[in-house]
Amino acid sequence: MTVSPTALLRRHVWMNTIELVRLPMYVLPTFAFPVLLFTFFGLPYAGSTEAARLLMSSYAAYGVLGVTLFQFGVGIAAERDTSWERFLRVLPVSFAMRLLARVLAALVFALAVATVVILTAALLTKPDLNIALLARLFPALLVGAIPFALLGITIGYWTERRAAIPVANLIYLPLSLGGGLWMPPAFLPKLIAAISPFLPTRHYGEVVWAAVNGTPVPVISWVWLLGFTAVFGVTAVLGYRRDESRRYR
Amino acid sequence: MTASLSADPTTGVPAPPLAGVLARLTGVRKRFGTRWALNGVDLDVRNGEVLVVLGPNGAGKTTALGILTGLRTADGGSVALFGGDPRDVVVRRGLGVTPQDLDFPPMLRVHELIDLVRAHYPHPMPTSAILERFELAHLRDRYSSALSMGERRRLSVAFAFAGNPRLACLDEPTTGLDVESRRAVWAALRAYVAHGGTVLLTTHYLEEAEALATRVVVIAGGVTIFAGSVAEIKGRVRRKRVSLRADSLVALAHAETIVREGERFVLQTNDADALLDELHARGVVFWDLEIQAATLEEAFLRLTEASS
Repeated sequence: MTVSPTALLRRHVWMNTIELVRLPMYVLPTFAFPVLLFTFFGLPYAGSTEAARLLMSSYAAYGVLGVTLFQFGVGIAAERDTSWERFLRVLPVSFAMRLLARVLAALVFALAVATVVILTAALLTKPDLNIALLARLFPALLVGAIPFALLGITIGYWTERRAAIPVANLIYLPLSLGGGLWMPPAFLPKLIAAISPFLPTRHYGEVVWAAVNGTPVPVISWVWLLGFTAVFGVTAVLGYRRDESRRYR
Repeated sequence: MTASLSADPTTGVPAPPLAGVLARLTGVRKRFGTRWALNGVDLDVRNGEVLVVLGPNGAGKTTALGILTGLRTADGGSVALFGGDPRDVVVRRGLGVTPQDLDFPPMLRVHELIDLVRAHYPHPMPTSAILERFELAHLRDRYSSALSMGERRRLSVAFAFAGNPRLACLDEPTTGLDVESRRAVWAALRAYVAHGGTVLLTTHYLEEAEALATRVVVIAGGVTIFAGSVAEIKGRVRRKRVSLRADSLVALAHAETIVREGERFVLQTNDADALLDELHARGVVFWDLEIQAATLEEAFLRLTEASS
């Protein structure tokens, strides 16, 4: 008998997931905010099928964005200074596997949040869902979330435990509004509309809107997202290395 | 039980370089900022023994354990665990660990935590056996946040054994435990060693070392100052406590201290034979003589005083 890597990975994913599932302080805001904001601000404008689809995808993206910023950002910041983290480090498991487990657990929540928003939209509006649309939307939601996962890891390693939640919120809410995830960019106040094209969330929006419209994603949006992925990738790795050299030299 | 000499084919844990030595620190040095926390620690863990690491607070015991278990890297000297590098995941499959302080994720249950630890090892103990051995069976479904201090401690000690490893390293496993819990931990530890396991533990409790240790290593000021059996450490410090009755007593060259306790005089000496000769030579009349060997605590204090 030997240690099965998949069984061990499953165990870590399960642990990461169940811990959060049992934490109402995490579950409620994660699911309630996208659904409530969609109902308050999206519903009145979701008359046409096209509008309903755009708003549904926007609030799904808003939900997934929350998962990346909080599950990576707040999660890492809260755990990296604990005796439990030090204990996990001496267990025979690699850092890579534990990171993968964290990514997969975030994936579970991201899919769940997106599903709940889509179901709400299907219930209250007429997005006229079909398999082809969903098969475009889900990958778009996840691929577009990659730079934000790296931003979350950056927050996790560069902020202290207590600062992580306010910092994550300070990034989450303005980025969501400015990127056009709460209301379409055309509806944004002038100043915010002027900044919007420079925000990563705007291009995340462009990716998911293209997915529900069945149109190609503007190339410039891919370029911006790749750029943000590179930048946040570097800040995440630097943060991780800094923490390693401080704590576990 | 003898150490296996070839790599375990199922776990890939390499065999020790010297038959019988599972872990070894040689001249290990570790610096934090400008302070040297370890300045030459030597330590061998031999197969089948209970090695107790003693030392005052801040002596470097926990740092040495951190290096041996792969949590930290040494700045000098050499480190070997099962003949390999403790930072190697595969090597650590033979190692179970109980850290000094351990807070669990609050929303996980006792058996879930044990199962998580077990999942890392090739030949873990059955969960039910672990729960039984550490008197946690009735707490199986309890959230870790609802455990008492003693229960938390027993659970973290259980972690070191859950994977049924070749070597269990425990940093002050019984600190904060009541007498009954401590006995349960001792019994579990003895059962594990009786089945061929090896234990390295640090402790503040000298009676724990006297009760469990096959060998003792004393670390003080980041340096190993003693390695040997409990009997050796006591023998090495030849201090004896001599108690007698006499009408009066003069100052004696071989008595370090003389204290009157009621009807008796209590003398501390490093050479009881010479002290008795001196008493006779001086014509001191005494009766009701008692001579006691130093306790481990006295021996330990003596060793650390001598090194500083």
